[in-house]
Amino acid sequence: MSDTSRIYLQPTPIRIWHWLNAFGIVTLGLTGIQIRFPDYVNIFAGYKTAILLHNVAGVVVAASFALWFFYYSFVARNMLKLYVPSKDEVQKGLLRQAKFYLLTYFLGRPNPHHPTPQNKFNPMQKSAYLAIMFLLMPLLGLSGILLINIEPMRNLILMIGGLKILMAIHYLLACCLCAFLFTHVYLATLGRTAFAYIKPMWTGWEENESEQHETLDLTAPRPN
Amino acid sequence: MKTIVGIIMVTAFLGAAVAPAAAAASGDGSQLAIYIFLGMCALIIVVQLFPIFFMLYGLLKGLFHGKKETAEAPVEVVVDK
Repeated sequence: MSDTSRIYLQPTPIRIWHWLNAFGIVTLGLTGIQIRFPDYVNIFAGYKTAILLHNVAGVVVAASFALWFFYYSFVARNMLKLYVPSKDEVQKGLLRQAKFYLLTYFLGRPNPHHPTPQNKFNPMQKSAYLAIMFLLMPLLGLSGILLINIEPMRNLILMIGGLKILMAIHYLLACCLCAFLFTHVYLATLGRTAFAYIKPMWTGWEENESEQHETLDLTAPRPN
Repeated sequence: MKTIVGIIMVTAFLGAAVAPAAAAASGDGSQLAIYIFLGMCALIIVVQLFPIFFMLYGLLKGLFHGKKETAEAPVEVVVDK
C-alpha cells in the first residue's frame, strides 16, 4: 500500500530566489561565453549588448542572493541547520548518498534522504551548497562587482594582481558554477519521475510517497 | 476581480521599478534585450506570487461574506418579535 503525503518544502521567497537565480545564471553564462569568445560566439545582437545584459543579469543574481540570505538569516533563521552538514552526515551520510547516486538509484532503491522543511538537503547537497553559496557565489559576485567598476576600484584590482588576474579568477569561478549547474540539473531529474524534484521548486509542495506494508495482527479481535 | 487588480498593480510596480534600470542602459538594440530579461524576471516573481493573491482573494471574500451574514442576523430577530 502506498500513502502519498504532501509537505510544504519551498516557501515563496526561496522559489522566487531560485528561479531568478536560475534564469540569471543561464543569462550570465550565455552572455559570458559571448564576452569571452566574441570571435566564435554571437548569441546576442552585439558585444556591447552582451556586456550590458551580463551586468544587468549580474545585478539581478546579486539581488536574489541578498533575498536568499535575508530570508534564511532573519525570517526562517535556519540557514546553518540547512546548509552545514553535521558530523554524522559527513562521516556516514555522504557515503550513503554517494552510494545511492552511483549504484542503488539504478537498482530502483529509494532515496535514503527524506526531505523535511527543517532538513531539506541530503548530506551531498549540504556540502555542495555550502561551498557554492558561501564561497563560490560571493567570490564570483565580488569579482563581478570589481569588473563592473574598474575605474573606481582600481587600487583594489591592482592589489589582487591586476585586471587579467581578476578576469581569470572570475572566469574560473564561473566555470566551476557551470559544472555545478549541469550536475544540479541532472540530479534534479532523479526523483520518482523526471519532474518530481523540479515541481516542488515551482509549486512549493513536495509529494512524499511512503511505502506502508499491511501487517497481520494476530492478537487483534476478528471482525464478525 | 481583486486578484486581477492586484496582479496589475504588482506588474505596474515591478515595471516602474525595472524601467529606470533598463533606461540606464544606453542606445541600440541592447535596451530591448535588457527589457526582455527584466520582463522575464518580473514574470517569474508575479507567477510565484499567484498563490498569495488567491489566498488574499479567498480571505477577503470570506471576510466580506461573513460580514454580510452577521449584518443580516439582527434584522431577522426584529422581524420575529
